[in-house]
Amino acid sequence: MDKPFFSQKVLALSFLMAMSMVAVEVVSWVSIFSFAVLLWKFGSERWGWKPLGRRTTGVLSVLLLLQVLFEYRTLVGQEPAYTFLLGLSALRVMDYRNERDHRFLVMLGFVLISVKALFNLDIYWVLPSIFSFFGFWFSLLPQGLPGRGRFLFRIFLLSLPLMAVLFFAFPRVVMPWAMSRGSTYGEIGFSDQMNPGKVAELAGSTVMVFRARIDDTPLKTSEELYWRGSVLGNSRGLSWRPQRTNLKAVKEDVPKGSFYEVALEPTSQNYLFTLNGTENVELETGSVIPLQSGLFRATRPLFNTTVYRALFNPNYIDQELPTESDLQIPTLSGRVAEWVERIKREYPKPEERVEELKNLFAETGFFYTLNPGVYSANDLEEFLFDRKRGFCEHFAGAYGTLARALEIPARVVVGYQGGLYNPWGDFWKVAHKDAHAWVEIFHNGQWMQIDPTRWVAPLRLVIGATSFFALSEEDQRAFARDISWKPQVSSDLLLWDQMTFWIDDLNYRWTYFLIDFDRSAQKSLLQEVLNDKTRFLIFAIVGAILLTLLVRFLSFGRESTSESKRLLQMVEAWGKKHHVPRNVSEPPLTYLKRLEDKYPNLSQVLDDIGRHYDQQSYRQTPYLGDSKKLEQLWKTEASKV
Amino acid sequence: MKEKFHDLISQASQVVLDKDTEIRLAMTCLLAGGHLLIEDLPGVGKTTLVQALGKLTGLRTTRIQFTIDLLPADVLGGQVYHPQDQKFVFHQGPLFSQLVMADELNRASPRTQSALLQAMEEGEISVDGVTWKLPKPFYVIATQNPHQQTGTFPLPESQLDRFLMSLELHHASKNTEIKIFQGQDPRQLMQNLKPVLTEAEITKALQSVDEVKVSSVVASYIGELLERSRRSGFSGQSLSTRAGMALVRASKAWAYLEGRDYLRAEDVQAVLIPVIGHRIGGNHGIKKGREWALVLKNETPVPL
Repeated sequence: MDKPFFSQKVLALSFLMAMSMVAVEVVSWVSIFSFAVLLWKFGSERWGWKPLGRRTTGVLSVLLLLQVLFEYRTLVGQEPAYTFLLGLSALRVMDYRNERDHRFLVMLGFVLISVKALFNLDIYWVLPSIFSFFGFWFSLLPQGLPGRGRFLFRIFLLSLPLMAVLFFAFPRVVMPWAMSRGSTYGEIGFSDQMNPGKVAELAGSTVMVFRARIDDTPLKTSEELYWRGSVLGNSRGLSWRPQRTNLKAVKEDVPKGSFYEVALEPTSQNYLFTLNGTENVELETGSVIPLQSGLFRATRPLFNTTVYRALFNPNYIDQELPTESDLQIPTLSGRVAEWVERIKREYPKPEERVEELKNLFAETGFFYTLNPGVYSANDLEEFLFDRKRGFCEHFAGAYGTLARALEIPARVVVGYQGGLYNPWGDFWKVAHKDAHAWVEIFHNGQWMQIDPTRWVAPLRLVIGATSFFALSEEDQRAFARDISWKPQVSSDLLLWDQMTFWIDDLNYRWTYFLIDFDRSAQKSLLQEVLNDKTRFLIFAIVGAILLTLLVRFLSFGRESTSESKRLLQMVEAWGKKHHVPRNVSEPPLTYLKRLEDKYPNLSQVLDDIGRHYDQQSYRQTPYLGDSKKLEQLWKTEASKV
Repeated sequence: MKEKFHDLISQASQVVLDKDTEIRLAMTCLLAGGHLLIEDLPGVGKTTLVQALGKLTGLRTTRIQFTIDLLPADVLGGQVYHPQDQKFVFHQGPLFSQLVMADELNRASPRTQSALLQAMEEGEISVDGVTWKLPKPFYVIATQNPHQQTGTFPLPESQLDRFLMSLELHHASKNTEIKIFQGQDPRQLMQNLKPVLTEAEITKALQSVDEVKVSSVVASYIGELLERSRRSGFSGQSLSTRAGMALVRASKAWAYLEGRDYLRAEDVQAVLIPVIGHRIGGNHGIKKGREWALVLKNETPVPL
């Protein structure tokens, strides 16, 4: 009789949950495939569909492996591993027939949860993981065991101390190769290629990028928060590309200021997003490279949630002199060239030119939208004079290029703007939605920030991207320039927002708690609490206790028989050497008697060994004498013969 | 307690000379609560041994001499019409006893044999639709002639299985025989024997035997024995699980007589041949079976 899968509700539910957690991370074909296989299995158990044979599932497994290899060229990394694991899990569910399959499936389940936990520690995933984890253990307990839940709970309680010890003391191992997200990771990530539409594409995603605590800085409103990611210096008209940025010279005196903290989600990139006016960044693990134009990079790609502390200087001024390349532009043509020529001719002073640029964007009816249509790289004319629809990147790109054309050094900065303030946790949450691009021009001997979006859609900056893009297109169009306007919010939505804030805050605390105890905190904790000597002592004691427990555990239970057996084996080996081997069918005690007859001077110790054997192996009571001593005695006595 | 049994054994060996091991095995068999089969030629002391045991244990003893014309009713008893009461009354046969000596069992017809053997297995008999319980404890010690002798009906294997042990007595040695010739007539000696045990003591002993511990080493040794008897190279019949259980029971009784409450491999070996000899012989007879049992014993390794 085959073991049914879906009738074991706890197992089935746990496994489904584990699979679902992974399924949201992978390409859809494998998710669909997996759940189709599960449905098939369900049908075969419930409605008597014909199940797939083991041979078929075996072939499918191989095909799956080949497909993954073909698609990703590797099995290492998050996505290929997820894909293969998920498909394999589903096929193994189809194979589920006996106890062996059960064990294997549970093992796969554990792997699924662990892999998920390896990449994502969000509290949303921790709870289902815990459920699955317990479900798997539950299904491993024998069916007949009374009070399985209680038993499991007891085991859990017993394991708590060890969990705590491991959490605080176990070294955090980082395996970059295992953490890489794979080459074709589908998620939109921050990039410093500002092709038209690139930022808009980013802004369509609600995925969180980082959380920041800025309560010590004087910045209070979303409007003031410009998170620099990268600076683009290579203009191609509407789109910009990055330029090689040099290292910043290290300042001798550390300027005064306040600190803010950022917890960055894993990006597999080096970008560290910092506010305008950031002097210095300290990474909790690893080091930071400060670059010119106020940028910071981590030395290694960030595969884990990373916390960094940054020093904010409210009086920061970037006086780095512009270079030749800050004036580079592509060839302009048509009405754009005409406009540039006219301004150049009419307004020789830079101040006037800057004013004219502002007038161009503020007054000629531009429309701020996420869906401006497609522009090509140097489609300035179409954008400025015909369509006039664009996203921040278009405004920034166009402004930068025009400024350069007017001989004002300019560069485009990409990053995030604003964020969503969480009143519960007093932190700002910045998502891809907040992606933004703005311009910096070198004017009056310093780099000044210009945000063309501020003229086109100030509301976006005032209420933040999340609220702004939640508005309808009409509202966006109608109120974009009306900064006093506030969208109407119904009270139940407010409640919902509160809930979201609360859960998000909880999640933040959880993540922070986990990361806080990461390597460095762990290290500093140990260093603070203990000096080297006591630490060594504690480790030695704990090690000794663990070792004794292990030895006791390994030898316990077997102790009673194995000891006497070993003694007898020693005697046997000795007898063999002295040409008195034990016949196979000779009972041990009879053999000892025979030896005693042959070697009368050994009779005492042989007698004791016999008694030892009798008591431990036959009577199954502990030997009353000292068996170690007996062993020694035998060794000395036997060597005399 | 066990001293009484030793006393019993030593008294019995004064009547049946030079058969100490056999007497002890017979006693073991009784202690294990099993039935005993003694096979040998006529005149080697089978009946004397059984009679001595009967006397010494104090069990109610009857003797049935089996012949070819003996009918089941002669063994079990039957309904007899009482004219005074005008009804049938059951007259118990010789089987209603505690220790039944079934002399020359294989001379009886199979029908009679099976009547006896069924009673041995179930501890009760059914006559004309009425079931009668046999007294307890109930032992059958059967003797039989080697079945090559003329005029015998060999017991089928399934019925041989009902006996816990089988013994051979062999001819007495020359010296023993000389002693026998010079000494008193065993029949007279038997008259002087007095019961050593009470029924309660026997019941208690049976219980103690049950409580003898079997360690995993010994259990695995017995398992190994059974397993080897089933291998293709082995000449005898393969041993059943019931045979294994019988072996455990007999070994326990042996250990009890040794004064222990746990088993040793030695106990198993001591009772091995008597317990399995008649089970693995098949139609080659018990003698051949005992030879094979010895082979099995010598080839099976005793685990440490």
